[in-house]
Amino acid sequence: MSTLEAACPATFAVDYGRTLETEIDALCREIGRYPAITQKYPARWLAINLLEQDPELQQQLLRLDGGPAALTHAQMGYGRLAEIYGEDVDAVIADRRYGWIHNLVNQAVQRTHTDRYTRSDKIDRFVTHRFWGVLIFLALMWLVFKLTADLSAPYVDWIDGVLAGPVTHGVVALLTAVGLGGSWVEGLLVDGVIAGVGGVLVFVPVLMSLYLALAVLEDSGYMARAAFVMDSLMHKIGLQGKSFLPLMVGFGCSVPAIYATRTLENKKDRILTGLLVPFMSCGARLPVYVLFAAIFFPRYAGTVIFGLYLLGIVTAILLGLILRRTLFQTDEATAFVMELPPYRLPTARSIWLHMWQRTREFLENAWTIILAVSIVIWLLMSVPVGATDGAFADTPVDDSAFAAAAGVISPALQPLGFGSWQSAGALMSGFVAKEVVVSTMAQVYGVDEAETAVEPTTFLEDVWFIAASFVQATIDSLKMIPSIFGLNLFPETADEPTDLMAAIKNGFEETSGGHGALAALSFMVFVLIYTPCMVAIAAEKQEFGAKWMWVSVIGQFILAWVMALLIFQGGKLLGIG
Amino acid sequence: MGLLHQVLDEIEAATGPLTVNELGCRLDVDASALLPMIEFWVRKGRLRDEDTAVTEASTCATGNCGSSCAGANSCAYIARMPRSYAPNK
Repeated sequence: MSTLEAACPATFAVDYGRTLETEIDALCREIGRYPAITQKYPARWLAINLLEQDPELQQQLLRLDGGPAALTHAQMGYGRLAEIYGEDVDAVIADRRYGWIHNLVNQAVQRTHTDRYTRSDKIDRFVTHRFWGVLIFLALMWLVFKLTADLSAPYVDWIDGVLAGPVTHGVVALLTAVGLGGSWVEGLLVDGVIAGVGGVLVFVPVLMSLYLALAVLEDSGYMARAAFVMDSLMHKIGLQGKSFLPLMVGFGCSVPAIYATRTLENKKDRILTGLLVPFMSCGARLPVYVLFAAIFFPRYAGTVIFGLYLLGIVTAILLGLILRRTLFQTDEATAFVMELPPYRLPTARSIWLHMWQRTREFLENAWTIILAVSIVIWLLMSVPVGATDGAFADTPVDDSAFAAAAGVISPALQPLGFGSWQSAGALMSGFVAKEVVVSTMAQVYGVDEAETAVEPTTFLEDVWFIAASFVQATIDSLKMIPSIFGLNLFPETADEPTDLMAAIKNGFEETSGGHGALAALSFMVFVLIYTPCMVAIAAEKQEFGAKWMWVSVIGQFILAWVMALLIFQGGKLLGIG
Repeated sequence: MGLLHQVLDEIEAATGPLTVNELGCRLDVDASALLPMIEFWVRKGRLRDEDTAVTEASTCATGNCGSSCAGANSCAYIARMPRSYAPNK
């Protein structure tokens, strides 16, 4: 046996090709001269690793007798190979190794078509198809919003009933017991806190339903496919493909979505995506849609909500196309490879965790931002202005500071069909956070109904009411399931609109000259398009600078106004609504 | 040109996104065998692990965006997206 064969037994070795093998052999010979090295490492293995410039091995070798000499030899060999191949030698070695394994596998393994494609792969042929994939995505999203709107509706009524009944009764009874009944404190708690925060809390079942559906889609592995399909679509129409990620995050909340634009390398792409993110309808806007869809489009609430989400996407795509061809021209189109996880059956625990985490975020907002804004609005509604006989907390709401402030901008909204101070005030407060639009509506329209006589109830009666109405809500919700799929097994009973719903309906009918539904649609589109919230503006300023922040804010207001105008005036011209 | 370079070239030359399975079909390689090759190019700096980039971007946002986002791991709104790799330009 020759020295080389003893040092480098290659009975089952990867063939790296003549050039590489020559260098490996030469290095093997050099290593073979030092027993201290060969006793510790197989020579061929060491030679290959040294040519790959393994830093850890290089350090260890320096401590052995003959190590520095072998290392110098390896460096020289590396230099010669790098010159021949014109690239990193480790890439060449790895390439040869993978090629050798690939050939070996091809010779040893025979796979049939069935072996090669798993069940996930077969499903993916449709779900990630460039055309069918988009249709499947849209159909699933429609189903999600239909389920969200229809199944949660009975629970919305349940929470509304609990807040308006037992909770309000309890607070009033408690205040009366401590001698504060009928005082401004009662007004603050009932008309400010309960009407404001409660007005948003009633929509928690809607958000929970949405987050439940999204959690199922995420955990099953479908969302990954949806992201892939939408990305392909965006790529085809000339948008930066990777923008999909921030845009998808935008459906949850615009703020992390704006920060997620950092994943884009090109500055123009980052700014463009950041400008489009606010058009993805965030979770905070959902209560507004649900409230208005329930009032004006009760039979088609799910479809209307789905339509609004879709309108946001279409607006972002069209605006993106325009901006890409004007202000944000780039030649760069980055491709990427995506690792799709296999489909899985979601676990109840994981779904619950996802749903609860997101709902908790919403509830935390309710107790901070919404509570603060509700109190400020109540204060403004309690302060009398102008020639009025009212006193603090005892003034007609039309003569309040809030009505006066909102009244300044309401004429600008008149052409859109909702030129009342109530709508203007809700949109003003919605600038802080979109959840606040609903709480403000509940406050400004709910003030007059606070005077309604309340039947005193006992604690046990309240508990019974809460439990019984919850059971009824669950039954009603279950009854809705067949109707979602077009099976009307249970005769539909028209829900009694609440006082708030009736007040909003009357208000919109009045300001729109009898075109309430059209004005409501126009209002929802305005809410969809204008600035998401103050925190999102701060994020835009931080990420893109003050100039782009103002472009975004002003642009969104102008676009919201124009789109709402087109819907209301266009609808009137066409005789719709 | 060897298989490893073919993987990189296919990704760099693609005009749109690819799934690992699609790439595997094109090169007649099992998807599970492709991932170590993709990881190799990530280590070499020729590809970028987008998943890491998203996490870094979101973590950078900590403390700057109110209660809505305190990093990717704790941000409830960040949907878990599939891992993707893009060419480093």
